[in-house]
Amino acid sequence: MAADVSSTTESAGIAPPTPFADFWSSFSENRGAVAGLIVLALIVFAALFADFVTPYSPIEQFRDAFKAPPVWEDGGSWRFVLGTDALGRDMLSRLVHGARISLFIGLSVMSVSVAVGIVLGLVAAFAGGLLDTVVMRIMDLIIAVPSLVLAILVVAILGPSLTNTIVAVTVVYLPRYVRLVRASALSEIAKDYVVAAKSVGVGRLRLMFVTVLPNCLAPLIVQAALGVSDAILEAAALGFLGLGAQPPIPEWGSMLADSREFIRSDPWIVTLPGLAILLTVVSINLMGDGLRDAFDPKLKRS
Amino acid sequence: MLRYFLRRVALTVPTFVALMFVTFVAIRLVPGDPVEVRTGERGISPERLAIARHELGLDRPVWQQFGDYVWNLLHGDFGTSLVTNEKVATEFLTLFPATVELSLAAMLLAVLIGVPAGTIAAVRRGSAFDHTVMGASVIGFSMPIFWWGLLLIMLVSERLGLTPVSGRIDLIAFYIEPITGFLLIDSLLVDQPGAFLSALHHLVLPAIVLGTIPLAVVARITRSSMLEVLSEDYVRTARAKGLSPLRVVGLHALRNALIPVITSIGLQVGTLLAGAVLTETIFSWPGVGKWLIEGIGRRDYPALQGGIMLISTMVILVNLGVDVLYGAINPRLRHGR
Amino acid sequence: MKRTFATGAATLLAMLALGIGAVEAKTLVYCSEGSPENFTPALNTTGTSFDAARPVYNQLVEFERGTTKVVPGLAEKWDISEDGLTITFHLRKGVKFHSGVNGFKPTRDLNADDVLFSFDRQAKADHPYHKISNGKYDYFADMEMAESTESLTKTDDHTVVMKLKAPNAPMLANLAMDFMTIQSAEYAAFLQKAGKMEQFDQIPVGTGPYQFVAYQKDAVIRYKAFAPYFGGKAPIDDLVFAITPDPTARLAKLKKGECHVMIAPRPADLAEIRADTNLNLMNQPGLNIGYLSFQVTKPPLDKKEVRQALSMAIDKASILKEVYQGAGQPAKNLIPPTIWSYNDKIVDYPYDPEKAKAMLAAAGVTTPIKMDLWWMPVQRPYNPNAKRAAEMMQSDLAKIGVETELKSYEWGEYRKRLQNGEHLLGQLGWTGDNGDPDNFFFLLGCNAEGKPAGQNLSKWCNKDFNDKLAKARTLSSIKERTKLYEEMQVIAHDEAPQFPIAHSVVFEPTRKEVVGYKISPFGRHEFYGVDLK
Repeated sequence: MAADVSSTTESAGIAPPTPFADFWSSFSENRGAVAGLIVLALIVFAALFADFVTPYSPIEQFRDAFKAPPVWEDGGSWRFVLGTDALGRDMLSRLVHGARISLFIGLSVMSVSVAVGIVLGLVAAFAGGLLDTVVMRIMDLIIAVPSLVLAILVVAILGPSLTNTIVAVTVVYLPRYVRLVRASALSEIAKDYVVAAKSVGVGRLRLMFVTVLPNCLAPLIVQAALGVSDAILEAAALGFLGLGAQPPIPEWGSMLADSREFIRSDPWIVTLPGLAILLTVVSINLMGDGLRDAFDPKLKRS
Repeated sequence: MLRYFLRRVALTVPTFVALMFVTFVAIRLVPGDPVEVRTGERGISPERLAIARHELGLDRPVWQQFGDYVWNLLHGDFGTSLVTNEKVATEFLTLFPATVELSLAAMLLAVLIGVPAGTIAAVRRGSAFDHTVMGASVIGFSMPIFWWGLLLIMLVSERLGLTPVSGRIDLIAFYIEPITGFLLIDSLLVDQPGAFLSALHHLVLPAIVLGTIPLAVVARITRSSMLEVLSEDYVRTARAKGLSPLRVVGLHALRNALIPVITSIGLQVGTLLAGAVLTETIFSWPGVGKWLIEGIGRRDYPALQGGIMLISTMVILVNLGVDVLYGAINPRLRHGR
Repeated sequence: MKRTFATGAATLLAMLALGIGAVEAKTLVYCSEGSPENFTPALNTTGTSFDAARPVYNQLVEFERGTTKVVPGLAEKWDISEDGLTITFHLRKGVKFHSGVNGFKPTRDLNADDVLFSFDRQAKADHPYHKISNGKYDYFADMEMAESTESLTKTDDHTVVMKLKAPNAPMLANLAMDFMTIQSAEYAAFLQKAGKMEQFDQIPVGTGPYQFVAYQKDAVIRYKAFAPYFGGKAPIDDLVFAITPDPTARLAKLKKGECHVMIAPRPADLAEIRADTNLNLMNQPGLNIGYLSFQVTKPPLDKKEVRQALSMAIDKASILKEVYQGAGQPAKNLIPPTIWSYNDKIVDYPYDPEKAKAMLAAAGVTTPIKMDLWWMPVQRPYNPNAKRAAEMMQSDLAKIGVETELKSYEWGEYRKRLQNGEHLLGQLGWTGDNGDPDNFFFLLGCNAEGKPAGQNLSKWCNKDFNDKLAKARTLSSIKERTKLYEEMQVIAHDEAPQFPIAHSVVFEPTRKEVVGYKISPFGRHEFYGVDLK
C-alpha cells in the first residue's frame, strides 16, 4: 500500500502531529477505507438531501408506467432512469429515500446500543460480583438465541414497524457492546493511572465515565462503525421477511421482498435494492476497516 | 483445567434455566393465539374459542403452564406441536439433520477456500492476489444473503441450468428412506446409484449462499492471524535457518495461525443457524430455521419453545466447547477471568 | 431418527416399486405449497392439508372432479324423503380399505360402521377418538352439522339414515366436503388396541385411489396407486407431493421437469409460462371474492353516500391489472358469476374521482379526512397481494382528500380485529366451500336480534337483506331462492357495505405430458384420473 509515502510526509513536519492528523494519516494509508468513506459520504449526502436530488416523490404512482425498465434496458427511457416498480413508483427516488431509512436504522441501532452498552458494560466492570454476573448472563442469553430468530420474535411481540425493527435489532446487537466495554474497562481498571485516581478519591461516576471510558473508546468506535452495517443488513433481512418498515416506506429490504415475484420477468426491480444494500454495507465496512487499522497500532505495524 | 471446565459448565446452568423461562414468556407475549391463527376467514365464536383454549390448557396462569413444561422436560418430553400434534422432539430430529448438513457444507466450503486464500494473501502481502482476496472478503462479509441467494438461483440454476433449483434430491429418480436423516450419508447407505451425486448436486448452491459470510470471515482472520504469526521470532528464526518458505508457512506458522480461525468458526455456529433461516426459506430447504419461523407465525408454542431451547443449547454447548478448547491451548486464559 | 410411521411394510413396498417396477412405473410429481398439518381432513382447515389427504380418502357423496356438482361417492345412491327431513344413503358394496399401511390389514370391506365412526368422532364428545390430536372439528362446527342433524343411524351394513331437524338445502354439498371424509373404524380399533391412537391422523388408511407410503415433513409425501380401488386403478403408479413453498422455485422445477403440476404460480410469471412450449396453462374463474369492507357503524362510513363515493374513487381496473396481473375479473357482487343466482343486471360503480369528491362534499364530509386502511399480511387465492392493493387504494383515495394510514397485523390477529370491527377500511375475502350462494351471502348476515355475525366485517345489518337470507335457506326450490338472492344483490349494491374488488382466476400450469388434469373451482388438487403420456 501507499504507506511509505504518507508517513514520510507526515514525519517531515516539525510540530508533533495532532491526534486527528495522526489518525488521518493512518486512516488514509488504507485506500479501501478512503474509497469507502467517499462512497459513504455520497450516500449520506443523497440521503440527507433526498427531497432535492430525486426527480419524483418516492410514493408517487405513475399509473401509465408500471414496471418501466431502466434506461439501459430495451424500452427504458430517461424519464425513469432506474425504471419503476410494480406500482409505477420511480426506483431512483425510492432507492435514495431508502438510503435515508437504512442509514437512520443503522445509526439509531448503533447509538442506542453504544449508549446502553457503555452503561451496562461499565457498571458490570466496576460493580463486579452479583451485578456483573447477572448482566453478563443476560447477555449470554441473548447471544444463545440465533440473532434473526430473536429479532423476529421481538418484532412479532411488538408488531412490525420501523421503530420496532430498530428495537429488535438493538436487542440483538447489544451484547457485543456490553462485552467489549466490560472487557476493556476491566483491563484499564488494573492499570496504574486508575489506581492512582482512585487513591486520590476521584468519585466513582467520574472514574467510570471520565477516567476509564475515554481509554476504552478506540475499539468501541471500530465496533460501532461495523455495527451500523450489521444493523442495516439485519433490518433488511427483517424487511425481506415482511417484518420491517410498513408501506409505503421505501425500505430496501421490504422493496426487495415486495418485488421478489418479478425476479424472472423484471429482474432489475429485485436487483437494484439488493445492490443498494450491498454498496452501502461494503462502504461502511471498508471505512470500519480503516478505523480499525488506524486505532490498532499492532495490526498496523505487521 | 478440570476446575475451569466445571466452573464454565456451572455458569451455563442458570443461563439455560433463564433462557427457558424468558422464551416461555416471550412467545406467549406475541399477540394472537394458536387457536385463532388456524381458523380461516370464517373466524371462531368466542364460546368455541374459550373451549379450545381450555382444552389446550392455554387459559391457565403462565407460571402453572411453565411448571408443567419444566416437569415434562425433566421427563424428557418437549411437548407436542399444536399444529401437527407430533412430538416436538420428533419434528426437530426430522428437520435438524438437513440444517446440520447444510451448515457443515457451508462451513467446509468456508474453511477449504478461506484458509488457503487467507494464507496465500498473508504470505504475498500487498500483491494483487492479496487485494483481490481482501476485496472479495469485504464484499462477501457485507452480502445481504437473501438477495445473493435469489440472484444465484436466477443466474446459476435458471439461466445456466447448472444446479437444481430447490429441494434436497431428485424426487422422481430416487426415494431415500431416512436412516440417519443426513441425506449424503443415507444416499450412500441405500443401493441407489446416483443418489449421492444428486443429493450433493442439490446441496451445492445453498451451501455457497450460506457459506459466503463465513468464507469471508475465515479468509480475513486467517490472513491477519497469519500476518501476526509470520512476524513472530520463531518464524523469523526458522526462515533464517533456511527452511523452505512452504515448510515455514505450512508447518510452523499455519498451525499457530489457525487457533483464532478455529475460535471464530466455533463462534460462527450461531450466525450460521441464523443465516440458515434465510437460506432455508429461499431454497425450500426442509430445516429447523424455516420451521422456527413458521412456528412463530402459527403460534405453535411447544414447537417454538422446544426449537429455540434445542438450538440455543447447542449454541451454548459449542461456545463452551470453544472456550474449553481455547483454555486448553492457551493456559493464560484459565487463570484470568 | 427414522420416522415412526415409515413402517417396514411401506419401505418394502416402496423399494419393490423402485427396484422392479422402476422402469415402467409412472411417477407424477406435484409441487405443493407446504406440509399438511395431518392426514385427517376433519381436523384441518387448510387446502394444503386437504390436498394431502384427498388421494387416500373418499366421502359419501363427492364433488365431480373439476365441478361443483355432487355425485355418488361411497354412497352409490340416496333417497330424500318427501318432507326433506330424512336422507337414506345406500353404500357401495365391496369397497376395500388400503392394506399394509402401518402394519394394518383390513379384514372387512367398507360398511355403515365406518360412516358412523367418521361422523360420531366429530359429533360426540365421549367418542374414544374425539379428543385425539387435540380434536377440534372446525368445519363440522362451522357448517352447524350437530345443530342441523337429529341423528345418523344404520339400518343395515350398507344403509345409513340421516335425520334432519329442518329441511336443509345445502346438506348434501356439506357431506361432499373434505371434513366428512370416511375413515376406517377397524383401523381406529386396531390402533386403539395397540395404544397408538394418535397415529390414526398421521398415517392415513382409507378407501381412496392412492395408498399412503411415506411423509417427510417439509420435503415430500409419497403415495402409490391402490389397485383394488372401486373406481379402477389409477393410471399413475406413484404420486409424489414435492413440498416447495417458494413459487419461483416451483416454476423453475416445473420448467426443468422436476415436477408435472404446480400450485399457485405468481401472476408475474404467467406470460413466461404461456410462452413455454413444454407447459400448459389452465385457468378457471375461482369460487371466491376479494373485497374491501367499510365499517358502517363508524362515521363517516355510516352514510351510504360516503361509501358509494369511496367506491367510485378507487380505480378497480388498475388494481386488477397490477395486483391480479390480469388474473382476475372485476367484482360487482358478493358472489362470483360462476355461482347460480348471480345478478348480472347490477351495474358497477364507475371510477369517477370528480363525482366521488362532489358526493363526499354533498354528504357533509370535510376533506382532508383521515382513515385507516388494512391489508392482510398473507397472500390469499382471492387477493394475491393485499399490500400492493392497499398502496394503490391509498394513492387513489388521496386524490379525493381521504388520507389513509396503512395498517396490518399478524394474520390471526388481523382477522380477529376486523371481526371486532376495529377498522374503517379493511381488506379480506372469501373462498367458497360448496358452491351454494348461501355460503357467500352469510358473510353479510346478522342474527335474529339484528346483531352482526363475526364474519360480517362491515357490521352492516339490513333487515330486508337479512330476512331474505334466512328465508332462502329453508327453501328447496332453486328458482325461488334465485329470486331472493338476486334481490339481495340489488340491496347490497345500493347500500355498498363493501367494495367488491375481484374474483381471481385460478391458474394452474402443468407440463404438456400431463393429460386429464382438471382445475377445481374449490381450489382442490386431485390426481385420480390424471395420466402421463
